[in-house]
Amino acid sequence: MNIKTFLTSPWTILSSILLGVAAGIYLPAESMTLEPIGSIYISLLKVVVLPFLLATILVGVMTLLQKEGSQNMIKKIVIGFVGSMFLAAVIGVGSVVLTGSEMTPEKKTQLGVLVNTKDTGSEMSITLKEPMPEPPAVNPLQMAEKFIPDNIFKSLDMGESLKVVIFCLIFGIALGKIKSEGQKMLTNILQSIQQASISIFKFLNYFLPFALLAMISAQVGKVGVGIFGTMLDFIVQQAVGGIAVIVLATVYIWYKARQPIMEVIHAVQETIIVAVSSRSSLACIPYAQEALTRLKFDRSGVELTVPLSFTVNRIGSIVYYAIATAFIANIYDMPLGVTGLLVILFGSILAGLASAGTTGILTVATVAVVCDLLRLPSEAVLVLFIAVDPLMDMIRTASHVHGNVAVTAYVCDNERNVSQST
Amino acid sequence: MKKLFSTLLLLVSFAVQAQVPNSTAPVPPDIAAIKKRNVLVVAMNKKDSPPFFSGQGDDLRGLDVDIARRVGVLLGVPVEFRRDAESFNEVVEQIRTGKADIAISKLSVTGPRLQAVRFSTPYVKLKQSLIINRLWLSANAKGREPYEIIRNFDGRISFIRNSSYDTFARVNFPNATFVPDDSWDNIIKNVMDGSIAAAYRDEFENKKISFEKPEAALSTKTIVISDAVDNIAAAVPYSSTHLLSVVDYVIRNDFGNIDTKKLMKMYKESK
Repeated sequence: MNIKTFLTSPWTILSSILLGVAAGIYLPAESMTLEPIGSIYISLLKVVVLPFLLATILVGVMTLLQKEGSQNMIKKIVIGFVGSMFLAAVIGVGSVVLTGSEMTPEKKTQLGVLVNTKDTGSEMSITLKEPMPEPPAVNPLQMAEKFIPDNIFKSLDMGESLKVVIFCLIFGIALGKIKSEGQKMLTNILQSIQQASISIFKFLNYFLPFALLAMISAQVGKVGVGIFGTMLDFIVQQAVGGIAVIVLATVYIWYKARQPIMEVIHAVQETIIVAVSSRSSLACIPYAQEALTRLKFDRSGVELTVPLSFTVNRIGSIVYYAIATAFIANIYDMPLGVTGLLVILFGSILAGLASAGTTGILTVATVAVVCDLLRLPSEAVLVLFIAVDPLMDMIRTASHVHGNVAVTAYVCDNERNVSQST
Repeated sequence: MKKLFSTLLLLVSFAVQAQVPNSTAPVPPDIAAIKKRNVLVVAMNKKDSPPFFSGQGDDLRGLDVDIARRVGVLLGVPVEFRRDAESFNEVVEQIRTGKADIAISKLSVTGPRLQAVRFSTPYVKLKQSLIINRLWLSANAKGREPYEIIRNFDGRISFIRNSSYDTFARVNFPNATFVPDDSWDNIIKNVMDGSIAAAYRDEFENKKISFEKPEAALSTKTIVISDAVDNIAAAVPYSSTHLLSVVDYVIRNDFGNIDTKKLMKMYKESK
């Protein structure tokens, strides 16, 4: 067997995932030392992603503007985003309703002990008379601030992908309006950058099994097995939500692509694997684009919609917030009822919007947006969420990425579909 | 080893006494009375409060017990612990009515008590602290910061009946509903299930909860009030001015810098 085919075979990938989980459980300390290998891999992916992102969105916008029906596509993007966010919230609430578990006093005691061990020395200190530092005034307009780039080089430097996307949209539209020789030249240059990036990604793919082993074993080792038992309810609910999104999205892509289901799964599996292992939706953008082009979706549409939806349309987070809030309500014995579930439904969408541009712990902490609406305390449980987040982030990224692949499938025309649907 | 040390100290104090010239000048009356009775009666709360005092009879130990024994050694008289007071206020009352010579019982200095007895220099300075039910805190936030909620606290607040926190609560949280309780365990149980909003005691006792009831971290939050101090001091009857200077000396000399960290260490060792 050729070494290259061996390294990219799904079976090799699957074995390295399983090996990683086993290593994380049985050799946690050794697995943690492997963590840098995973980080190096993600860094290499990310370093190519930004130039790729820049090139791909600019080309996408420019080609779109020169084509007929760009208005229609913008309409579809808006409908696709709003619809998918709503669906994500419904799936989140639905998986809570379906898997709703009893919160026994024993479980509460276990969770409390866990909070106590994780949350050391963070008690709050206040004064009764001495002046306290004024909290920063919350200005709703400030929310918009984090979307608007002021210095594109700084944004690139800081890896603020949302700002980069906004910049590319503005710049792409402006470039698309210019009719000149320079524009064609620029398109060619950008396409070359795109192709070069893709060949680097393909090369990096050969190292994926090793990186996977390192990343997954380190993640499992970090979370530890002990906390799994206590947080099992939560983990199961999140897994159910994530799987629901992935299944639904796959079915939709299958419907839209009009190709054998195995063909579809084969095309999208790599994106999901990269999502789970890297926990970086940014790193998945080239894989998702390749998968969708392979399934014969309109290239320029894909090039624009994938990066846009990955950065703005936080499907994974919305599902996560809905389930997480219901879990907190359950801990504090707050009966939700229909009103409560509706608050969670719309609250999670709101939190999803608010979480745009955040990663890691900051994303998890945004659950407070929904909890505040229900007047639930999120602080203590947040400690637990953060402890299991390496695992939850895998689910979140996978459902986010795959959900948005489906959204892109909705927005973009399929070559096989176009003749029949019109 | 400890016993040997005490015996040596006792011997030294006898030697010191021997050095005092046999004069006819009057001995301070409060000291004279103790010497005549040949026993120092120390009032202490009935309920154990480790690491300040815990255990019975020969097993009685803790910081307060050590201070009392040091005072006894210095005066050259044996120490007798009187432990029938049901509350901290009753301990103070025993001093006021002369049923004991000195109270060393994790007593907080408060306004009303200062009017009845004399207090030594504090040997421990604790901060006041609240254990708040998290659900209550979120439900009553109304967009306010936690410190604003506490400053205008209007929920049900619980504390040990006839303790200093009874006084502190009425001074610091005038808008609250006061729920005194005899049992601290009961108070913690109530704040955990939300039937009261807050439990009020010193930071040290509240820190102990995380060892005794680690599960409380889920339903409650500890808030330390950094500008509300709880001074722990010994108390003597108003007339025992000379005994007070002896106690002050012992505290300054041997128990000079005890902070919450040290107390926590003592507490863990006593477990």
